[in-house]
Amino acid sequence: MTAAIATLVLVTIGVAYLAVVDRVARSFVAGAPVGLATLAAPFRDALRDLMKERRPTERPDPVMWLGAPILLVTLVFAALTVMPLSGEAVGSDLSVGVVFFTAMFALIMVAAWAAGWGPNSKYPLIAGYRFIGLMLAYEMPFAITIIAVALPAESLALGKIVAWQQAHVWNVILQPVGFLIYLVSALAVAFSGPFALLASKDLAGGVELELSGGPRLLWRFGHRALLLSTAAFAVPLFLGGGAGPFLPPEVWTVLKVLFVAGTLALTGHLMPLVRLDWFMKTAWVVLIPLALVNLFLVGAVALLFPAWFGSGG
Amino acid sequence: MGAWLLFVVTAVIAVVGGYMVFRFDSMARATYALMGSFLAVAVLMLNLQSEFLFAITFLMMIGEMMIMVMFMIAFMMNPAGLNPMMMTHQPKAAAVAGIALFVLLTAVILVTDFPISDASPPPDVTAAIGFEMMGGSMLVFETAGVLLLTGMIAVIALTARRGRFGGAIASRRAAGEKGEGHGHHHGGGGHGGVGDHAGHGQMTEHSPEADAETDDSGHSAHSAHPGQPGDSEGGEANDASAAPEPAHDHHGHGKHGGGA
Repeated sequence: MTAAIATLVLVTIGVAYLAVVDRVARSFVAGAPVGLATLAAPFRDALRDLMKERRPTERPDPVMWLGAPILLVTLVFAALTVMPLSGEAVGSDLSVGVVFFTAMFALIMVAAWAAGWGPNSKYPLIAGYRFIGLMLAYEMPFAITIIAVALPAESLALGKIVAWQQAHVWNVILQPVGFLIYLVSALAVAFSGPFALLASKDLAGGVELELSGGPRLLWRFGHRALLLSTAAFAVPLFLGGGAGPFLPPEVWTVLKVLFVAGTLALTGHLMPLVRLDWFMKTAWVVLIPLALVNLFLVGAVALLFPAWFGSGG
Repeated sequence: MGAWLLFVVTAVIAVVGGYMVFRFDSMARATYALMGSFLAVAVLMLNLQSEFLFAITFLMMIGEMMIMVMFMIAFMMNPAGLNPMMMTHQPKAAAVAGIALFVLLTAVILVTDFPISDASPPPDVTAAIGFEMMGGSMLVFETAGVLLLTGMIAVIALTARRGRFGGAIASRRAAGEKGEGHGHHHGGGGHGGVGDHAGHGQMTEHSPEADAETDDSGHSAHSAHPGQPGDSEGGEANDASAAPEPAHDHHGHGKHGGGA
């Protein structure tokens, strides 16, 4: 129970942090002054969403429409149950942790398509459909790099992957290419930054077009929490989990997560929105083969130096 | 106790989800109900202490059902459930078959003397599955994998817009169809699909001169899409009944009336 409350508090703080980073970056890029009002703006927006009347559409599918934000938030918290803050502070160190959170992230498709279908409106529907079309291109490199991380540790449990990195070498040093591919696909899976194709300006807001009031707030909360969680898993997978001097491991994990998530959130303001067909092709022709080469190299190293590998030493 | 509760909840969701597939009008809801049913079955794997099978079934079922929802909506006539539509056919025969199957399966479960193993599962079930797949049964799994891959590549090659012989028209010609006449025949059907001519039946019997006219009047763009979904459906279904509508279309394609 305390773990659940702690997760809720941490995720809420993380989402607020991402919202503020986003807002400050937007003002900064636009050359507008950044003051206290800028910092407070995301919270003012959230309150405004809550106060607003809900705007219906003609003959929506209310169950799927309202179910989508709920599912989005649920899947994020479900995935985070296997996220270790330290060796002890973890909801549940499943023996198949990495497969578990990948399976939970697959639910993004379900929530995204339902959000597009629900309002019975053109632009959300197009956004939902095209996201499904792209999701395979996103998820393949995502999953393949995760397999390459599990390979040297000889375990699918996040705890053992972290222990192996602390005993040997961080995965970001062993497989930097894998880390980069993970970051790109983590952004894409969370439909954020340059890959914000589910709720983007080119479709008048995509699935967010018809959302209003509480459901809109919940969807935006889930969206930011999703980016936070995909960024968070980079820490136990590549950045040695809670390893670091002086501070306790839990604090180190949180600091690393905030750094990775903040960096990812900034990319949306520094890069243009990717073109759909271009990224689809690049993902299949460049990212997936690159991820496979990375997997092959890590496997070759594991075969050549067997004594050096193995879980925990 | 916890395991028992998990079993009851997931079993109920699996059965009710399966039932609701046939109660919903909307294809989207029906597919999501089916997905819920399958995901509940995946969670049942946890009861069998097989975490890996749970996670991988969960992952696969989501992917499959999301593709399913595309096809259901593309091919069913009432995707959103906005019109009344029955999801069930031959209800009496189906009920008899269902009940008979249920009785049969229940009888099998009750009569069979299932062996009860007191061996505990291996410490790492995932590793055991991996050794089984990559050890003793490797040949079987690898063969199945290669076969599936072959099938996938073949399907992509056949369905891609650029097929084995290039673009759509070139492919048809290479496949031995008479290119010219065929294209025009479908072109006529295509116009029918847009708004349907009253004289659709005659339209298919173009004289060569009429065909030439069709090209002159700039409709070649239409005939370049012989596979438009509207083609045959619109042409066959509303022949004369759609007479008032086509008047509009008729003006636009005046030369067709002349040809017929």
